[in-house]
Amino acid sequence: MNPTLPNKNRLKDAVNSVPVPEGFEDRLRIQIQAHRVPSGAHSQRRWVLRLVPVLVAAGVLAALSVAYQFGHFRLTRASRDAYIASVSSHLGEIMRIGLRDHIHCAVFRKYPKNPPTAEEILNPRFEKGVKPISTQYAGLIPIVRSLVPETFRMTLAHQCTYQGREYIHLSLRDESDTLSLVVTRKINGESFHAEDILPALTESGIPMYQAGVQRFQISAFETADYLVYFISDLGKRQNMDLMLALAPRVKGLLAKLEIS
Amino acid sequence: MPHLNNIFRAALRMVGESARAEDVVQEVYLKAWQSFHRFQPGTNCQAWLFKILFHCVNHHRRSWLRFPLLPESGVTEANLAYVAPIPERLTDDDILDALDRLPADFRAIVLIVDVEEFSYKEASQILSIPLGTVMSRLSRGRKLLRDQLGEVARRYGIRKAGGLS
Repeated sequence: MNPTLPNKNRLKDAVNSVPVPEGFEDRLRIQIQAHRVPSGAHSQRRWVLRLVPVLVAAGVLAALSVAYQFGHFRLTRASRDAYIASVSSHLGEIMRIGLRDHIHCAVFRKYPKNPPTAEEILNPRFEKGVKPISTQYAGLIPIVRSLVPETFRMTLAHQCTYQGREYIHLSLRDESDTLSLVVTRKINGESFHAEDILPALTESGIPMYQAGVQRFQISAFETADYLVYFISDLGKRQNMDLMLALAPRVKGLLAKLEIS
Repeated sequence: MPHLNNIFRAALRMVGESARAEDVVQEVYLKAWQSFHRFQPGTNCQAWLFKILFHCVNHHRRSWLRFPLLPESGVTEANLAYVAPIPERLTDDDILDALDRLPADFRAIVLIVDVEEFSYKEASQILSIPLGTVMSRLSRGRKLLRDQLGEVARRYGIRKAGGLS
């Protein structure tokens, strides 16, 4: 060691006095070559990273597309009608009748934050362009209110026309589900029986028909002059249970109208 | 292979064995190769390699018995009270032996600042520690080294004082 060097340099010299093993650099080059990332791998990785937002966007688009297929983001009348036609096509003609009106009025409808009161629902000026339920069918409101769970609040009770057909339509909602009682007069001898549809069950002498498509469950029965549908996002069993509860009193009310 | 000698010597001082140092250096250059796209041209390549080196060393140090983690306090305080004289007639081996006896954190900072002559700021970035810690650790490391060298000097019966500037 050179005693004339400053002490920091002595430390540096001491550290640097250790020789690097002979051939180490060559061995290191060989080892790095052996582990070398294949040519282009870095740029591939960068491409993969760049692809991430594209993949995320594609995923979002796919989700939006699926949502669109299930009736969301249908902003125009034409797209809504297309959805109704598409969903209905999976059902027999007579089952489509009730589902169309349910989707048209209850699904695509924008609901007010606070559900209307009974008085508001029956007020002709409550909703512009909508005909309130007539007095002869107003008896359906207390029937539905008394038999549907209290968590559901009535959002509409009106008479409407969709694709040239008139409907009496009562709809209720809770936090997540929408349900409808849809009544319409038979046209040209329409009948479940005539279409050879077998009832799912018969309750109190009323044959009950059932169908389901996407999230919609449909239970139905008929009277001499009317087709009656109960449609909801509930499960198949729950939907039918509610229809079973409603059917005798609804049928009784419609029977009175038929006699008169 | 840029800065290979410096990297190897620092690795050797940190891990103690030539074969193990070769392994660490290999890992350093592999990592550097694989992450070269992160290196910013115009910045200090040697500092970047040293940062990778100390990252690799820290990654392995817990598993190496030769390289135990020593608490910073306690190890130093007792020794700092006595400032040992440093003789000039010490061999390289004596100095390296004294350096190797320092706790790893102090050895690292002495190597980076006093041997490789990185600035405090660069040392802070290489070791990922605050600037204040660099300075306090360096001060303690130097004193510990001086103390170790003083021990060696006493064994030799050398009394003339010197010291690391």
